[in-house]
Amino acid sequence: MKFKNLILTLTLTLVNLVIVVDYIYLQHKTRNKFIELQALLENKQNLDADWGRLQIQHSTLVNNSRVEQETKGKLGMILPDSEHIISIKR
Amino acid sequence: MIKKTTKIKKKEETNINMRMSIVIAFLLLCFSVIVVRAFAIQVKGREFYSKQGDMRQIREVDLDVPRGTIFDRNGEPLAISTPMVSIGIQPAVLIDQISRIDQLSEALDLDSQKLKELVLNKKHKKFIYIKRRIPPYDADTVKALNIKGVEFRNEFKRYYPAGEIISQLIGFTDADDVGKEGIENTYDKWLAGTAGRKQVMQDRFGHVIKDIKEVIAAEPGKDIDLSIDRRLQYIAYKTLKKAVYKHKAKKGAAIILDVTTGEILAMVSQPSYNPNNKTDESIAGMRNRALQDIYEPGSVIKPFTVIAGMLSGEYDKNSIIDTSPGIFEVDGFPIHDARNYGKINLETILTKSSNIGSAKIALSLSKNHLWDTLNLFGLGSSTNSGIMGESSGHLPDHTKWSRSRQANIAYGYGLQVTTLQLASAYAAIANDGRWRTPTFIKGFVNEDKALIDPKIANTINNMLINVVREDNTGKQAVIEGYQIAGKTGTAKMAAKGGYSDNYIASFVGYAPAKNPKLVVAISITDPAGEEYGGGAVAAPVFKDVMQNSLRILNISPEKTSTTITELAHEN
Repeated sequence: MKFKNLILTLTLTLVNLVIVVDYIYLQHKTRNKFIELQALLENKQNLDADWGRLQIQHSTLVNNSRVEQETKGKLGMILPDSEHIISIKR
Repeated sequence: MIKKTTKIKKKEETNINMRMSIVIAFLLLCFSVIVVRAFAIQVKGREFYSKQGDMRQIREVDLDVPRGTIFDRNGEPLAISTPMVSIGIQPAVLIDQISRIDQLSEALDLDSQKLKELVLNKKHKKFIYIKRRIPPYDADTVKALNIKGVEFRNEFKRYYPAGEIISQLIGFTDADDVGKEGIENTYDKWLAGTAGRKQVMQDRFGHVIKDIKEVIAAEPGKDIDLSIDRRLQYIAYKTLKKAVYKHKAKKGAAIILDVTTGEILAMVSQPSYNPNNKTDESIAGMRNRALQDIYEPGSVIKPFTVIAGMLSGEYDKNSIIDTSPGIFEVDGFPIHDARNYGKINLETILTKSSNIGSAKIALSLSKNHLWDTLNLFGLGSSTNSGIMGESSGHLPDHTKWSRSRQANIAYGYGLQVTTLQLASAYAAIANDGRWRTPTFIKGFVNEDKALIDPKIANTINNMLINVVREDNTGKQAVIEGYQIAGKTGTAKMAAKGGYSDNYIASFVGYAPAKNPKLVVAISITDPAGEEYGGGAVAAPVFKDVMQNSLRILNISPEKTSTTITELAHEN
């Protein structure tokens, strides 16, 4: 009887120990994951900043007045008169 | 000897026992002090200490959310927020490291002397911004300096890629990212979203190591797709600006409206300003002339007088009105026509823009009926387009009309409208007499309602087509290949005690006239050049804007010089 009790106590102590160690390990893992998450969030913010910059750059490049200047000036394109327009009907 | 030693021994024993008891008593005392203290800290002082601990570990941090993007109907951005970093200082902390201010000011391109003065003068302030909204990579160089008392906060900067071509409609945001004016103001809540707050745990270096809970859930701002087409907006802006410059006019407005949906495809104002670089001179350019300016429109109202006549049943398209001898007096006020047109029909009243003809129709109708018709088309009342700051204009109550007022209103004086009201009213004629509340939001189509019999709308349509002919007032609005309907307006501007010699030139029209898609309304205020009439100043602007818009939107001409059919089969 006494021996059995001892075994039980020891087992429970061991289980307790395992749980505690596991808890500590998990806590550690959580912190690591959290740090990772923070880094990813920061990365996301940087990418957002890049994206915004690229969008602005894009809209500057396709700016109507710029396109008009490039087509008329550099490429020498003109708007045809109505007599030079052929309409295609399907 | 032996005796002696035992005596000594006894004495020593008692001595040791006593010493032991003293030591034990002392230790017990110490222990009890510790127990009492531990009790005081852990049980009685628990709340206080755990709070103190949390104060050092647990923080609430703001979660900034970006403002939503405003797009045009084709997904081109018109207002974007990009993340930026704002830099501020804690003067009290920085005051001990005056020498490092030079480094800081150099990195930020600030005047070092001024910054030092700021630190000294404002040393009691907790936090002062020294540079707001700089790109994150520029902020990184400052971060690398690692100066105590310099703080970094994430903010967003609003950028308007289309710049001055649409600045009045879009509006802008203030230093705190709150929308002022235009769409930014009207839809501020929708665009702004909700900044969140969360509780976090920090380590002793101030790094966040754990999220505890969300205090306020962060909700990013939502985007808006406007009905505006940036390409048309550009065309309208450029053309209007050129005309305002050419005719030395004070201001101008132009609108392109989709007849079938009521969507506003372009709305431009002159003067304008660049929202990305506001100066003191920008203020004049901030007014949305198409939506906020009200004016007496002049002859563009005449079609509605004719409609009132036809609705009364007293007139039809064959009715004849005698306008001779070209001058007509009402209560002592003379009304003039450009010349004596003699006996003319309703169509000629519009094509020649006869004031006398319109006045005679109006005077033959009840005041009530004329008022009702103008009101029916929304003239003198807000279109409820949903943009803050829209003016309602003014159509005075008919019970207060004198006879001469009744005659004046027939050709566009004595009532005040916005350019948007004119565009919507003409859209109703173009849309078989069905009126629709205009909208700025893509796909947000309001229910239309029938105002007049489609037959009457059709008759007016045919009359307006004839206005835009080589021999009539609207000849400069003729576009090859398309049938155009429209009306010119040349109104004297009201001045103290009557009317001045300054004019507002306008043109409102639509195309293709037999299957209308677009309404374009133009108004140009106070052209100071040789030309001042709607036909000479506004009609050419209408023509350029309409022609280019039809091309861009692929609305094919009804008549072309060459047509190749079924080219696809030949290939």
